Amino acid sequence: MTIESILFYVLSAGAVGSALFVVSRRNPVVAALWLIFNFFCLAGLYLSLHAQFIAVIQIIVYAGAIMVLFLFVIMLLNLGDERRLVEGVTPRKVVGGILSIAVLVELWYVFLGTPSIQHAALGNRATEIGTVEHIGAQLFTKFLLPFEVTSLLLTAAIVGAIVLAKRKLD
Amino acid sequence: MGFQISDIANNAPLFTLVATGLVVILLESAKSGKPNVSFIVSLAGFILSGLLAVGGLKTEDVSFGGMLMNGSYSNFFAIVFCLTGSLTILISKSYLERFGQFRSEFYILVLFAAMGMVLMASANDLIIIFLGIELMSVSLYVLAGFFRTQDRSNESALKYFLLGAFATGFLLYGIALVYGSAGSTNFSVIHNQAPALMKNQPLPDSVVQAGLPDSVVQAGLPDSVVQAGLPDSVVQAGDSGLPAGQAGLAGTIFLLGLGLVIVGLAFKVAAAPFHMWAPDVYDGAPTPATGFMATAAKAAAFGAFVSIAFKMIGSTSGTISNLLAVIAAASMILGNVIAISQSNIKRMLAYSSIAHAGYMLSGIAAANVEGQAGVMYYVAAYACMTLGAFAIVSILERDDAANLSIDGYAGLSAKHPVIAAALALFMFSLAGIPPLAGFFGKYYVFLAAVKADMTWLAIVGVLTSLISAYYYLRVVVVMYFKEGEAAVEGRIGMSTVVAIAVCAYLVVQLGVYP
Amino acid sequence: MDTTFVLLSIAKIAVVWGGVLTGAAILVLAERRISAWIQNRLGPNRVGPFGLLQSAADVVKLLFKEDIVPTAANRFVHDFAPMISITVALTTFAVIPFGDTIEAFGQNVKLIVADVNIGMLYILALTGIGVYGITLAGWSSNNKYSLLGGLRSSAQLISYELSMGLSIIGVIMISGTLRLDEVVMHQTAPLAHSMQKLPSWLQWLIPVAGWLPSWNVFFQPIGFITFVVASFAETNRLPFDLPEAEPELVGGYHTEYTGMKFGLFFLSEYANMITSSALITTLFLGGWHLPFAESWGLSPFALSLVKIGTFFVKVTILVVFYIIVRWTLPRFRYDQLMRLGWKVMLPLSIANILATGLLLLWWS
Repeated sequence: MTIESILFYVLSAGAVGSALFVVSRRNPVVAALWLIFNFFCLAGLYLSLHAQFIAVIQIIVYAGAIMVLFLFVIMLLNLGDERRLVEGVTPRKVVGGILSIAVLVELWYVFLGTPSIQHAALGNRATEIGTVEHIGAQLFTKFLLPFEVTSLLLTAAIVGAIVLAKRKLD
Repeated sequence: MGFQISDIANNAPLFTLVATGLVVILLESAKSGKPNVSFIVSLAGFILSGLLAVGGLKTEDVSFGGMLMNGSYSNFFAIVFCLTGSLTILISKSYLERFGQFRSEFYILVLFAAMGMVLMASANDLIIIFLGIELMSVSLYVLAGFFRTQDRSNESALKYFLLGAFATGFLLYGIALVYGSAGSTNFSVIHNQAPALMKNQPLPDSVVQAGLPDSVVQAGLPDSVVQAGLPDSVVQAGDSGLPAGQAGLAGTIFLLGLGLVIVGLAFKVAAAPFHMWAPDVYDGAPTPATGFMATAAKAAAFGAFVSIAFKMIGSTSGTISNLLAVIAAASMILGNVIAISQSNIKRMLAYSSIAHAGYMLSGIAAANVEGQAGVMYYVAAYACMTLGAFAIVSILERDDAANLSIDGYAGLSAKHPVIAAALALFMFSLAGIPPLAGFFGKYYVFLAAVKADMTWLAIVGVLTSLISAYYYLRVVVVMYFKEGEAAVEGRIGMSTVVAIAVCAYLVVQLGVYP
Repeated sequence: MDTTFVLLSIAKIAVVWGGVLTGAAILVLAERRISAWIQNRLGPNRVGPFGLLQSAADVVKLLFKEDIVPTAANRFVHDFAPMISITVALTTFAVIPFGDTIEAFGQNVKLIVADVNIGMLYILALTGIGVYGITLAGWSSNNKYSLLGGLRSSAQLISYELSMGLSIIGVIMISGTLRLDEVVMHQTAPLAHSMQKLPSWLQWLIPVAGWLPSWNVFFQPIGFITFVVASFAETNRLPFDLPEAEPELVGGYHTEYTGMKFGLFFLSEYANMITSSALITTLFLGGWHLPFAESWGLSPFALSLVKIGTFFVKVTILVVFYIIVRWTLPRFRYDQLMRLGWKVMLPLSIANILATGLLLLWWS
């Protein structure tokens, strides 16, 4: 077992485990903290794939900005224990659970029914693909249109946020 | 690769919309911006964009390095979006004024949604499909919640947003799996590989052993395993998904991905198992926004659907066709049957829109040229008649949502004979009575289904159309043969009347000269 | 990964941490003395000669104080928050080069702990994480003043992080790299080099200003100002210390902290000051570069020492600047803070990027 695969298993276990904690904790702040931990594990996985830029962006954007806002809102609303919201077992939940398990089994069947995939062609190129220079070059040539459309998307989201949140309408 | 000046010329309708949207934002932020100005500028932008789209119908080209496909297909849809967009704007003016919500943001959001729609229809790449859907949806979420002091509107926005985000998750996961198996998000590249992937065969011109590390070969893979590489262009482009591995696995993943993509799109068109959101959202949203959602957004989702079905998968897709046929049949049956019991006209139209999504899907399931043309025709016809119906609903709607029940339309013919006649026209067309547009839409779509040996689907369609006639005609009956006090509050906005007139004209025009 | 590498890394870490922590301790004293000087007082002068041992005494005091956790507090998070703060404060320094390569133990040693190629992004990421220390401290104390402090800090830090990141972009565009050591190398050439391309009517500037080093501050004056202002906000120093704001919030996020946990917050504030001064030095003031030092004919080893000294002096000057600002400027009101962040700093730094881009296009 190489150090890479050890890292992979440790990080994935961390990611999966923390994701479980995110949904099972009752205290929203604690759940948010586990989500942050989850992002760190993901960033670690990206790093192990030589995608440094994505890894750091994951931290800057998700852990550093979005989750801070999350916490901000949770604290502002002073969401306490959400135990009150929990309902008992309903038929809907049972059916939903069964369906989820069915999907899980299907995916399991699809992915485990076949030998593992070899990352042959990537190989040495991986280190090169993950760099900032490469990503920047791709973004401004091949993916120019998606990049610019993203800016439109953000503008629309900003307009929408203002429409919904502006204090007084004039 | 990269950007060329011709890219802008090819996408003139899109860029016109973008420019208009940004200008309206700037006008609004400069204090002089009055909603009236935004109204006129947005309308002008839509009309100009639509005219440019008409002009671009003949040129077939790709732009932005294969990201977009311009030509008759995309421009046809652009015309539909510009038409519905401008009609929505016309309808909205007096409606928003009546509710004291006449603000520029409405027009900005409609413009941005339209940009997303144009992108969806002209996309030649899954990334663009995704971004277009997001751009459209984000704008629509907010439009649904535009009356933020109304609980109904907020509920509508919240439901739409939560379920929409969930559906986007499916779509994105599907895109990721397709990319992983086909090695590209570009339709043309995937199209080349789709037949092989569908049949679990090795990918074309890529049975490459070279370049793989020895360990793979030595690992003693079973005979059935064929090393499948990617076309060189893809690898050189810097993105390679599944360079090697078992073709069978790639095929399964590909199908799985397609399934998830279809789930995401079926949500956007409100087809049967994924339709739950439609009635509540349509009911709660401001009526012009509902009209826009029910027509333009659905048209856009079908634009993307047809692109994916025909340009990406190709016509070799037996499994996918059957899947779509089932979804189509379910939508037709469910939409039409539940619509019968609706007493609220907006909810009734919502279920009717689910049913119409089913009709259109059967055209896609047919997977032949007639189906594609039929869906395109249907989209245009459906947009006109539904938007017209929503325009009339918006005239009659009052603050307390009282006038939304179908019974409230009793006696409309006596008070406002013209409006009643127009509504009757739209209802007849929705029911599919010749010689109106709705009839020919159904005719083409079912014909395509029959040609594709899916006669059962056509029969389901015809039967459910018969059911639908009941509830569409009930509105007409109530209007003409029931005594009542259907009153329009205040004046009817001039712009709304224009919009209704345009819709009515198009319904007849498309019907008489299909 | 040979043994020398590991040993060298450990040595570098020891040097940096030792330096930063000692520096922080000295700074606490310096701050008190300077403030006293500004306010015409004496300041602490009893412990040791000139009060030099005051900080040591303080640390001892903090260590022996009782650690009080409020009953209603979330214990785990309450303990965890100061750790986040201090960890971030101490690890940011890893990517900052504090000197040129030095000849030691028979090989060239780069004076930087972690020589990664995304140094600047690393710093941005860590500043982003640093918010959690304060926010969580505020929340976990279960005290409304603390919570207000925590909320203020998260809003403030996010607002100013944007302008901070955007003002760095100008530097990145000029240097064309995200490695901080290359950024410094890029600033070592004399300014006359890049002035050759000036239009003829500006050529007279070359003899006037050409002798200057090509530090980024000359290319990015606006970026420099926005970055310095944002660093003040990021370190929660006056005039941006609203998370603490004693008159309004008692002590802000650390009201409910005692003993060494409070000490950790205190320490990390000063460590952050040092780090951000070091960052300003590296990005805009030429890092370890001292103009004309090469022409003094020193031995390579001595030259390296001089460079480290230069870095140290630059950082010290900036830190003293921090302290003087604190004791001369009044605090912002919260709305003023937000207005400055979003309506002045952000447009300014975006305009700076635009101008830099246009100039670079014209320059090449």
